[in-house]
Amino acid sequence: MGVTVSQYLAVSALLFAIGVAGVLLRRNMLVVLMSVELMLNAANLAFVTFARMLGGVEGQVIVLFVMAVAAAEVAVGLAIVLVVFRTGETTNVEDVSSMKW
Amino acid sequence: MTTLLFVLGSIAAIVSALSVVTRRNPVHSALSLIVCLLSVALLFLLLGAQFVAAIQVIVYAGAIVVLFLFVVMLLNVKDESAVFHSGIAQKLAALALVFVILVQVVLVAVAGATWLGKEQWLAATGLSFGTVQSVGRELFARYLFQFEVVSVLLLVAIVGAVTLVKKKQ
Repeated sequence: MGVTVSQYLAVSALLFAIGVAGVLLRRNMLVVLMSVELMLNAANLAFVTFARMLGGVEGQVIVLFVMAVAAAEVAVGLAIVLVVFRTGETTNVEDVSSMKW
Repeated sequence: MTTLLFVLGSIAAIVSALSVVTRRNPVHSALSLIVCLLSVALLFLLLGAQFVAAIQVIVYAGAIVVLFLFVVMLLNVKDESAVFHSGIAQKLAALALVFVILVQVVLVAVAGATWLGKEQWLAATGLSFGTVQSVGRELFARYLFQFEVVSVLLLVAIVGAVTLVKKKQ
């Protein structure tokens, strides 16, 4: 096989960095949540790569757990976005500042 | 052949991830997210993890992104006037932070992999590496307790989402 571990890990790191950039730079709550999904997905890729490198299946089990946590996070996150939109007609994170000190 | 598929899959994943972050319309972002998740599923297949790849397509691309699209349609969000609203100083600080995180992740991951002395693949992964059988045996034997905790977490998330969205009487 020609592709090495570090190449997969580099792709994973790039995806993670793009996700971080999305969370820090975008102001739309929906896109911020999607960027969080990108980061979780990059972590999953690293988990599977290391599982393959070490020859075990534990990494894949952890990936299933991460996916379940991601599903729970999206359900609650989108519910919060829905409530915020219902009260303030906005999805911009800068408009939601009533709890800001 | 594997190398070609890896190059194609990783380029598609990175380009569509960039597209998720830079689209003005959230619907376009969600559609790019589907492309990104499918490309990562291809990478999972290349790694031999068939079960995880199937779950990735079914749960992520099938359920989570559809939930995103559903909410975007429900909210009827307009196109944003600009992709990035924040000021130039904030943008530069964020990009610097992204760069630092990228360097750190690359250093930890790549240096860690080389440090373990296993830069090439282990030969002994065999055919049973990513099958439903091997993953399921591990999941329901050694990780049974964690599995149950995750199911409780999902229940809590469902109840929480319903309570949040429910209208006050």
